[in-house]
Amino acid sequence: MVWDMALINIPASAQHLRTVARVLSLPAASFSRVLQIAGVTPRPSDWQQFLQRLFLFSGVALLLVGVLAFFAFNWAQLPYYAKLALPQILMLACVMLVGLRGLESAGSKAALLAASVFVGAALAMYGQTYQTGADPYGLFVAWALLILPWALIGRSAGLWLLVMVLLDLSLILYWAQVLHPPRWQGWRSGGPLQWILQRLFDIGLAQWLFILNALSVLAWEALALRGPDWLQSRYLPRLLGFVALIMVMANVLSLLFDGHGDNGARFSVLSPVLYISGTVAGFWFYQTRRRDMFMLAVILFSWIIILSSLLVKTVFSSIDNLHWDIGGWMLVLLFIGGAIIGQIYTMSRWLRAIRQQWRNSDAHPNPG
Amino acid sequence: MPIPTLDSVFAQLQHEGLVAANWSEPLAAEFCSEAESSAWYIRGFIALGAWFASLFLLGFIALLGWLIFHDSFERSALLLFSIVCLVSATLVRRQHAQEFLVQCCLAVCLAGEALLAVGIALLSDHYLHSYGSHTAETQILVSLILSQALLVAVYPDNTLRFLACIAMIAEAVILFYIYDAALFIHGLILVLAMGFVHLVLSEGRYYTTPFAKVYVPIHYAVLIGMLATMLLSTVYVLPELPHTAIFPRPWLSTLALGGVLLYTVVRLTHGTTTPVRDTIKIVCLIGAAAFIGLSWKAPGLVLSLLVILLGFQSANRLITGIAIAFFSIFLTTFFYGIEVSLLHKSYTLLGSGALLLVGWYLLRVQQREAGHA
Repeated sequence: MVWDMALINIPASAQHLRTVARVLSLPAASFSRVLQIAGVTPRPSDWQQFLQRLFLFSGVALLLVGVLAFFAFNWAQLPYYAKLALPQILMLACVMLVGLRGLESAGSKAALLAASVFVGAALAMYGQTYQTGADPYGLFVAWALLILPWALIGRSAGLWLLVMVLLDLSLILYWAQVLHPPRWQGWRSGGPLQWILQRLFDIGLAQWLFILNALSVLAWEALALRGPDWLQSRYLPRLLGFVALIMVMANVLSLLFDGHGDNGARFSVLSPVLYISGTVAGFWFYQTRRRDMFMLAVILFSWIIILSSLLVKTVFSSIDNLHWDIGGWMLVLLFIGGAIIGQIYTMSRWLRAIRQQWRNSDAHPNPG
Repeated sequence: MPIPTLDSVFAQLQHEGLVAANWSEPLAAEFCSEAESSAWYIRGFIALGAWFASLFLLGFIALLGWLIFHDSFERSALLLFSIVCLVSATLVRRQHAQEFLVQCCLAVCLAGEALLAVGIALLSDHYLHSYGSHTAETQILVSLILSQALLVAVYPDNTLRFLACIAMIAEAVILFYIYDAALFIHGLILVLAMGFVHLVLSEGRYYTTPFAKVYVPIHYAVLIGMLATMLLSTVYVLPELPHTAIFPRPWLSTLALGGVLLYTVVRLTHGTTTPVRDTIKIVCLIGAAAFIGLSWKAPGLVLSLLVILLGFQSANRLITGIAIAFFSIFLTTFFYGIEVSLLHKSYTLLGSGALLLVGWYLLRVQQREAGHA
């Protein structure tokens, strides 16, 4: 049988062995023996290696946090030059480590990322010590520009993620503090995070965030098609694509239910255009040029959310008043629930068909 | 070292007479369905969509239930409706395994649980309010625990079993707080830790028993419940407030978990197929005892180490990963908690960290000596 050849050669990992034990109801002795044969049960040498790594990493982590706690306890007593020197010394230590080990190893990339974080800490210490009254967006812009050379040579998705986070924060803060500061300062009373989240409902800001993140994804995918290994990582374009989609989708939903936005209301009609063109182009790209089932699923699910919201809005707008009898409400609830079920079913069938199409084209590649 | 295939491993097992010759036949359906199942994110989106659709359908069914029941059983309508939801979801789920229906039944079941709590609250309030201030809450929680225990036994879905077990642990903790018996939380953590150790070290015993079907969800629920309960130790309530502490005397958990850790170390060093030298066993025990002593005010560190060791022994990366994540979260919450001073925390962390680095160094020396020998 074909499945014998295809499936029995799957690796005897711990997870697969447990599945087999459950299906075959293996006795305890047989289960222990199968784990030994497969090398799953750790031997003393495996334990030694594991404990060495565990003690090293957790010991270093506990020491670092302990040192951090010690410095935090004595922070007020530290002179200002010590406070300024601390993040710079840490940054220098990380850079020296990278210099000694080169850029290729995972440890070096982690050290370069840590050094990039310490750049921000150093800038924050500088801003705290010398209170110039500058807008906070300047810190994030400077931080992003200073670490850009490291991102270019580092060839690390993590570094580029940090750069994108800083650029997004710079845009949000510049828009919210310089271009369109809130008329009522009481909006800040909930703290900076609440205030930033509040600003994201601004249509103009959300459109610019969509454009920034969508262009980043476009640039990443265009360069990745050329083949460098480190660009084949999927988590960064997926994350940025997801953020861009959320921004423009929130806009469309806001227009659907609210009908108006804050700043940028003149260009509010752009949001549906950006959403439709972005998702259609994205669906075509991730189906034909760069196979990514995750992105296809995200785009389809966003269509379901928008269509369902449109349906709810249409149904409730067509009702003259909400004083219905129970029967009317039951019909509405049943209709909307059924519509969502239908869309989910269509989505899963569509994705299965695409997956099958990919499998067929892999099995019988087009010689052209 | 390359991972062997199922074929080679079971061929060896068949040669030793520990498995039948037709061992591969029952696996066809299992691995075929595994190969055809959707990716986790697609299942996640289907689940989300199913839950949204279920909300509307539940509204429809709730109105239908109100139409049918409210004239005859006014106060019991909600309770009856919740039982209808639970029973119908269980029956449908036992017949069908299609992804969308699985999620719909799950949503209906959880909604049924919520309505059960509200229904009992309404009944308790009407008939039994004179019996005491905690009666209603106790009846709700005990009813939920009993219904969830029943669901674990009869509802054929690992997700619901897992959530039901977690909920039972949470409800037990809430009961302790209602009756001002927060000290019992240490007992609960001890029981959960002992249960987890037993479930991991005796895993093979359960595959031939009816318990095999519920082993996996209960195993993970005990783990997550234990870790979540331990996180309560990092919550600090000002002593001026008129409530007892949320996690009084954390050293009690350290003591209890320390005993479990020492027992586990003994089992692991005695249970290997290759003999472990007595000196290493003694060093491991002394090292564990020293770590327990240094982590006196941070029982989460002892628990992290226990779970990491068990995760490695069972070659379960998920458990090891969860333990490492818990270690990081506990460390962060411990750092930000204000009950213990920063200086005291720094001593605890520096001492524990130094001890672990000494252990690392001794292991390296021992490895070099073994290499030279």
